[in-house]
Amino acid sequence: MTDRHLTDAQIASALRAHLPQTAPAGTRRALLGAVAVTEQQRPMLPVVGWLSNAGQDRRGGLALLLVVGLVALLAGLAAAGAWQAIQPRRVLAPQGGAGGWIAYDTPRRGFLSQIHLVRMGQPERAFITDPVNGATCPAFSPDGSLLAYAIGDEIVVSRFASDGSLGAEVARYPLKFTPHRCPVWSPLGDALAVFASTNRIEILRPGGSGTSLAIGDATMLDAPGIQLVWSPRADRIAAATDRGILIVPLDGGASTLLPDSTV
Amino acid sequence: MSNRPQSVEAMAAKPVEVPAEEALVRRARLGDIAAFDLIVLGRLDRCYRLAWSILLNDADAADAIQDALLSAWRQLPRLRDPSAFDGWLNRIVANSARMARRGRGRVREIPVGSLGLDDDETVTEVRRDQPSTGGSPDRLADRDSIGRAFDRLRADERAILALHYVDERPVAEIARSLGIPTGTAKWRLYAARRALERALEAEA
Repeated sequence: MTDRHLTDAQIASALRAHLPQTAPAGTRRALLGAVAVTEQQRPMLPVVGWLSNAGQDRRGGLALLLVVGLVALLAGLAAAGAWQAIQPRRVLAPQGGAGGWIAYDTPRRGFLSQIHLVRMGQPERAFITDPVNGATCPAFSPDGSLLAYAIGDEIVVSRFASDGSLGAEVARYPLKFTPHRCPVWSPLGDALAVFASTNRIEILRPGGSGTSLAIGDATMLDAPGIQLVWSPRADRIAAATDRGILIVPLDGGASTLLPDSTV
Repeated sequence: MSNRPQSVEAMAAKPVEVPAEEALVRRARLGDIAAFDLIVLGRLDRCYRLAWSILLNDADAADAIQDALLSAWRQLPRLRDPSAFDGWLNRIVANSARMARRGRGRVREIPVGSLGLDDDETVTEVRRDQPSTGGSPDRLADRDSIGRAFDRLRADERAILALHYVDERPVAEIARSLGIPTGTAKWRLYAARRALERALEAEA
């Protein structure tokens, strides 16, 4: 086989187009602050002022020795604590899908979230990314063939193959979406429920008309961290709120609040 | 407490007299985090590109840079020659990216924007959205081919090509960055270039 010969200019031009020229703005801010944030959490060393006087009398040698030992001890403790101050990625919303895949997202302050796809016992992994908004809240359909996730203020549903590849989009729903209030599949896999920031539960039907049904009670669904659970027959949704469990029928009937009797 | 300013980027944007680089390095060595951030500010994109060339995705590159910056800050008092800062920092970044790479398997990145609506095609390859940089379709296709060939090279080959062809770093600094003798750096650069040409031929 004859190798193709490239000029310096060709290589430079192609690599400049291929490699990122700048770090993403959010990443730049997070990286520039990372050292300062971490170092601010290290304990101060109050013994530094002694050092200037330590050699002035005969006890200076002993004092200096004590100071050095104390500084070394504090520095060791500080270093151990400072490593913990770097904010690690957190694994959120792990979900199982076709072919033994597990999807999760990793929100982290200052960094774009991305969805990770991993398989036990397999070296391969994949990311789902969006360079502007990040990707969060993966949710596999019950048969594992569809993957729903959030991109910015949209819920996207895409096909998912057992080899871990993401296929075409099936549906895309613009919402006033609050990050990490993730879509939840119905037991039959024909609908998604998501708590929207407009104090409503949106029912999204990827296989249907693509319209959404707004239900719920604005006075009830105002709690952060609300969780949605479908009933086995997919005719009701239970919403865990800070006032109790709100049972919301999908036929438009009145919602029922089951108060938290422990409060 | 640190005397770090509110916005380092805003500070750097002001048309004030910027202290000499080596003076900044000396200040940072004495514990001035603001000076350290100023030094890093002008090098962040280059560090990011180096980490990205090894890891081939944004999130891992950001993680590697974060670890590298903290490591650089901690090790800075041991840097004897402030003028060697660039090569020294690159070396920390490259090591951090290599360490990150060891801890993971093969990775595919699936940019969401590349998926078509109502289209049964399946995305099976690594792709990265890039803004158009102009040029004829043939030249753009050539660039894409070279980019794909680049992704198939070994991490060390990608790093040395990025340092030489994109960042235009002198071979001596590349050698310091990768922790190898200058002669070895020259040979590796040649070998990486040949590997790129072979990968491009395989691509065709």
